[in-house]
Amino acid sequence: MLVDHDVITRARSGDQAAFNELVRAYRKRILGTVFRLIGRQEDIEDVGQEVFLRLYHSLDQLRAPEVFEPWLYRLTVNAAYDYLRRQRRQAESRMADLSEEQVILADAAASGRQALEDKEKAQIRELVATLLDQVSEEDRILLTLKEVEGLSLKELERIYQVNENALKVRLFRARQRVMKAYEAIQKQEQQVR
Amino acid sequence: MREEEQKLERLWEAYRMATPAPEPSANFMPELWAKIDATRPSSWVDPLRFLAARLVPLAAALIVMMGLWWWSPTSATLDSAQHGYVEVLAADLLEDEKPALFIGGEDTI
Repeated sequence: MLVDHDVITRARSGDQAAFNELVRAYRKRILGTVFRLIGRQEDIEDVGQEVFLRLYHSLDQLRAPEVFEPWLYRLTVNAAYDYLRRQRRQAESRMADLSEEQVILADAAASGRQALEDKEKAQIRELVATLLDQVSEEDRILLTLKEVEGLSLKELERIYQVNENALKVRLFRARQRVMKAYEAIQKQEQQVR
Repeated sequence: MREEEQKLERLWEAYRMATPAPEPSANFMPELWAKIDATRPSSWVDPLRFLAARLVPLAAALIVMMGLWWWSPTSATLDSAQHGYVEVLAADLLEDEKPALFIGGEDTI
């Protein structure tokens, strides 16, 4: 826990200073998770604020301070999920344009070692974004939390509120689907070369 | 583990490194509070509006239910307002012709 239980209790009873303290303690972690879940830098703060907005309005429903972190993760997952669904509804051409734009920007900035590293990171983000675009929002979020965020099955159980076996099945299927998509991307790359 | 699976594992790892937690901007907190202020009830009128929005459909539903009950055949009683004079008179005569209700046994009183 990044804050004392007392801070959560006070925030829950409407103490604005305590709520501010809570946001300040968790915002960086949440922004990082949002970044990995949605993969788009320009909207991280918007989605992050949405998480804390939902937290503000639902904090009184929190049963105990001990379950605060899974609760916050759950809100993060839901906000990211809503964002991804909205994005998917938008025209795919726009997404493609933006991705291309990002690559062009990375290319233009590629001078010197730092720029080269940035370019590599941008390419990795691009590849993962392409990969995760091939699977559902549900698979994307579950895999990101498990494989990238490194959450344990126990933590995922508390976020998803399902038992371990159900979670294992969902993870197994999600992994299979993403592996299929990854193999297809690899094949395409080999054909281009 | 297959080669592809290992590659994917490495890709997740690389993605984790390529997506560090960004520093929140200076506007993060003010913007968040502006959003909170925009969504919470701003004055005493809002709770009333909230209440009214729920009470109006409830009252309408109640009126409809009362109306249905009023017009339903089960609620209709044998009163003179709904039956003709002759029908009510006939019903009364029938009541009069019924034998008086016997109360108690032979050895009572």
